[in-house]
Amino acid sequence: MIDDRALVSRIVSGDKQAFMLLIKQHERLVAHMVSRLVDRNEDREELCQDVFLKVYEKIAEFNFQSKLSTWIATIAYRMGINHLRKKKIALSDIPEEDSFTAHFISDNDPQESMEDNEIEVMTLRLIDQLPPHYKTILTLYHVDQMNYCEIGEVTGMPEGTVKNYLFRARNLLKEKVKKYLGKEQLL
Amino acid sequence: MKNEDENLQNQLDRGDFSGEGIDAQAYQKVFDALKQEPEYILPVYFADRLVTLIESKEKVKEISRDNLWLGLGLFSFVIALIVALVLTDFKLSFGAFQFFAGYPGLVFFGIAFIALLNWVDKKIIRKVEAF
Repeated sequence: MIDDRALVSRIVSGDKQAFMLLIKQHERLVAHMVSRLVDRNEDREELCQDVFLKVYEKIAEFNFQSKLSTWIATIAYRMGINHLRKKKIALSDIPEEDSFTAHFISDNDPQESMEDNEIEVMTLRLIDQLPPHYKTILTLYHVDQMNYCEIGEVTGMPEGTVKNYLFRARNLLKEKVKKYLGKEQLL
Repeated sequence: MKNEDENLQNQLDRGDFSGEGIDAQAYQKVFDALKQEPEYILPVYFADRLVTLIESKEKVKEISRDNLWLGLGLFSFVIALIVALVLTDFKLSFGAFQFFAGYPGLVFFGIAFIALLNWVDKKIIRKVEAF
């Protein structure tokens, strides 16, 4: 397993095989982030391509102040947010008002009860309905196993904000799932 | 309520979850779903295609750079030629070639011979070498 410094140095000296290795090592991370932010598969692939082109262009400037994966995730996050801005997709925060929470967890599904896997599918759909910053934080924390500090570096948010976003998003999802579990138990 | 939620979330994060009740169950379901990887995966040929794209971009860049140097070289040559002509007060004269006027056959033969040599080189010699 080649370490990050050796890998970067090989890429800077023009070794394309080394860059291919970097792509293979980080394509899942980039695909996770991009797929949470962007809906269309064509846009996703194009954005992933742009992210890695930017990585190749800027790799000589990488100074190892952070992990290589965190740096790549930062580029993916910024480009993902820029893509949403270009498409004029709202990047709104979850409003504090109870009305949003009430709307989010409102029960508009006609089904009376759900199987476990259906609840999982529903939860994944709910994640997609959250604002982009929240989706990114949830993905980086739960899927890519990043810690608060690394997520803060990627998103440019203070650690406290990351924790708060994570708590609020999981809390909202829990409230929605609770409704279905409540029905299940009543049956 | 917030403290209770925080405790449940922290317990699940640490992996020492032992909560009971509907909130705990709901959190368990949420955390299980959150661990699921997004379904989207990049095509298997993604890395190869990207590297090919980078290589073709670099090639285009290299050709543009070469053309730029060629242009600069030609420009410098023309400038140097003009400076040299001005400094030496050079006057163009065909006087040295006037004796050719008496031998039109020789001029024609010379041109035809050079053309023939080029044709032989192109059609025969280079073809044979290629085999």
